[in-house]
Amino acid sequence: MDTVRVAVVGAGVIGLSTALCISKLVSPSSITVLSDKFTPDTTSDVAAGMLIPHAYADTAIHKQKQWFRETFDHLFAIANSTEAGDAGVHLVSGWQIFRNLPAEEVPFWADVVLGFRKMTEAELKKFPQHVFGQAFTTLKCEGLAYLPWLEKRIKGSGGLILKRRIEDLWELHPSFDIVVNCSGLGSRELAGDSKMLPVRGQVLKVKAPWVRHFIREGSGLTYIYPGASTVTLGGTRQKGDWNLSPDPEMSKDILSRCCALEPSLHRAYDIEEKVGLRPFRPDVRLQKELLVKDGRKLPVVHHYGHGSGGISVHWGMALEATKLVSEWVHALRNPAPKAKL
Amino acid sequence: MRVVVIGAGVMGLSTALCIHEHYHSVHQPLDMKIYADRFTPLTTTDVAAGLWQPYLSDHGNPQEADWNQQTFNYLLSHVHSPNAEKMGLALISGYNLFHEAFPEPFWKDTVLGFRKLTPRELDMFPDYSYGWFNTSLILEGKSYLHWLTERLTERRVKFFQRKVESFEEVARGGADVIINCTGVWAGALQPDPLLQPGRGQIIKVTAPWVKHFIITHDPDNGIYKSPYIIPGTQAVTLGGIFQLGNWSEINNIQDHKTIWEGCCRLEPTLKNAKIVDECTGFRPVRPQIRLEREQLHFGPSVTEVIHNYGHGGYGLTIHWGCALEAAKLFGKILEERKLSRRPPSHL
Repeated sequence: MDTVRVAVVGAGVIGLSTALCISKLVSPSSITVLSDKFTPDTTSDVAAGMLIPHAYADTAIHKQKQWFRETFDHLFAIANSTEAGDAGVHLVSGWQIFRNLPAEEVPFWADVVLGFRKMTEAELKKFPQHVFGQAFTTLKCEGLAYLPWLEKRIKGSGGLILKRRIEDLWELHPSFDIVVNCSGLGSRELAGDSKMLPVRGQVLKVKAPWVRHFIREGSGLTYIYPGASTVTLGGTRQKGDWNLSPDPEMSKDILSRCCALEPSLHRAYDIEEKVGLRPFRPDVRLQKELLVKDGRKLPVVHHYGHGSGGISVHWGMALEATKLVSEWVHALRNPAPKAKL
Repeated sequence: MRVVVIGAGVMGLSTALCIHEHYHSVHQPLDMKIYADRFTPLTTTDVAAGLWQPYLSDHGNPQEADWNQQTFNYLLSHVHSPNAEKMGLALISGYNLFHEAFPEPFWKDTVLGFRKLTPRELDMFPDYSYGWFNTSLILEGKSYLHWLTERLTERRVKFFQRKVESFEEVARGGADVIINCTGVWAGALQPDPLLQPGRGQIIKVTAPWVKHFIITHDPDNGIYKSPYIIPGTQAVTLGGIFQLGNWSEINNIQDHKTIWEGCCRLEPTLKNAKIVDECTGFRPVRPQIRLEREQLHFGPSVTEVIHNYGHGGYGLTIHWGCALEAAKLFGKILEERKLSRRPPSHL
């Protein structure tokens, strides 16, 4: 059997995890990751990486739960292994708190995380402005460590990682048999997808090693996420804003909102401002497309548009993207007169 | 009123502060001095990880349960203040693990969110089949002693490095009241057959991804003899040694192996963690805390002594309740000497 040549465009968490899955599950294959940006300069590096799903409006809940569960289980195993420190994956407990009773007291993912329960009255005393809360233990998957760890594994499987800016997916023809498009916000140009919009997020990464619990406001706008070496304080959600420069007024506001929830943060130090553009789409695009031009054909699997929830579902979705790649491989190896090819 | 506190661990400094806060005023100035041969970072308190957690079952004196609770409530009231970090104080959640079902502890309603572990959580710890999860507090000895020292210095309490050989020498030096917080070495000032060292050894590692405490229990073996992992602000404390009667202050290589193997088995992610320190300390073990008054006679005068020692492995856990009790005893002394201008109603 000929080795199928797969190009993965994009080296954020989606590109790298999809590339790794393909290299493990599609055989024989040769994987090349192409991207203009790599860690530490991707959107995934700015994200705190907390495994708390963001609900996608148009995808069935059972599907979202499956992707979250597969991602959680996969990372849980890493968190309990000797790889944990290198991969940047660890358990963290904390609270999600609400100023008003939420419509849904128990979210769809409650039985995927660990020890999910309502907060007690005594626990809520810490948050006098809030009337309801959920306590649970989840995982944090830090891009700055996880992405290099994934790159190492891709190279270990024989994959190539190249710095290249792709302006047009056709550049990859005929060198590659299948293209997997994980270009996030880049798909606005690369796939001509006008549904792709940035949702700008500004965060502060601070040193405050005494903070061991996450705190997230139900709205998702204010959060404190302690990591291995820094605590991520957030955040903002600015739809359609492409500005990558931090706004000092916004930083002051983030710090103030977070200190209101956790006063000890007044003593935080080594404060760094970061901005990421969430690759927003009304729904994630995970689908096959056959590009045709001047008699040439290029099988593509699109895998982009994860918005705020990329890290929470990345592994489950990478497995599914790999299935779609396998379908293309099968079609390539079994051309029939009536086949769509 | 001349007060001398002997001992500069958590008991000495917190009792000094508590008494000073309650009884020092313009009308009855307290002349307070602290005598100790060891100060931070060389005290027993400095070795302790600082997790608030009493022993699993009631220790004998029902007052101790109250003192533990008072300490938790006092610390909890400070944990939300901007000072918390300077005090070395923070909330911390984690796991208590057992080989089989165990009765819930008397402090289960004192800590926050106490519950049993779910099966998936127990999957993380294959050697254990039962356990609890709760949110407690950590009060790191070194930081807390620094903070207490600052507060006392602000109040112009004076510190003296000296090795006290007898209560008599302190009494003849002019002390009206002596607060005895000499911990495991109290026997040198007055023989106490009930007091013994409970030697502990710990390893400190850099493993900042560990956010939870993990305490294992082997009730047949005894407390602190089973591996435990407690993440501090700068380093993670690994322990599991408790040797009654062992006065060796040197780190022991066999104990090192016991701790390292036990903790890595419990938390495999530690295998690659870098060791940054290793220490030995002597828990001041006693069937009950000695917290009581004694009157000593040297020559014609009476010297009041308040003993406050023998807190075993739960000194930080119980310290403030004991300090308050010692302050109560001090108040009685003042009343008896008719020096108090107003009743200590706020106690």
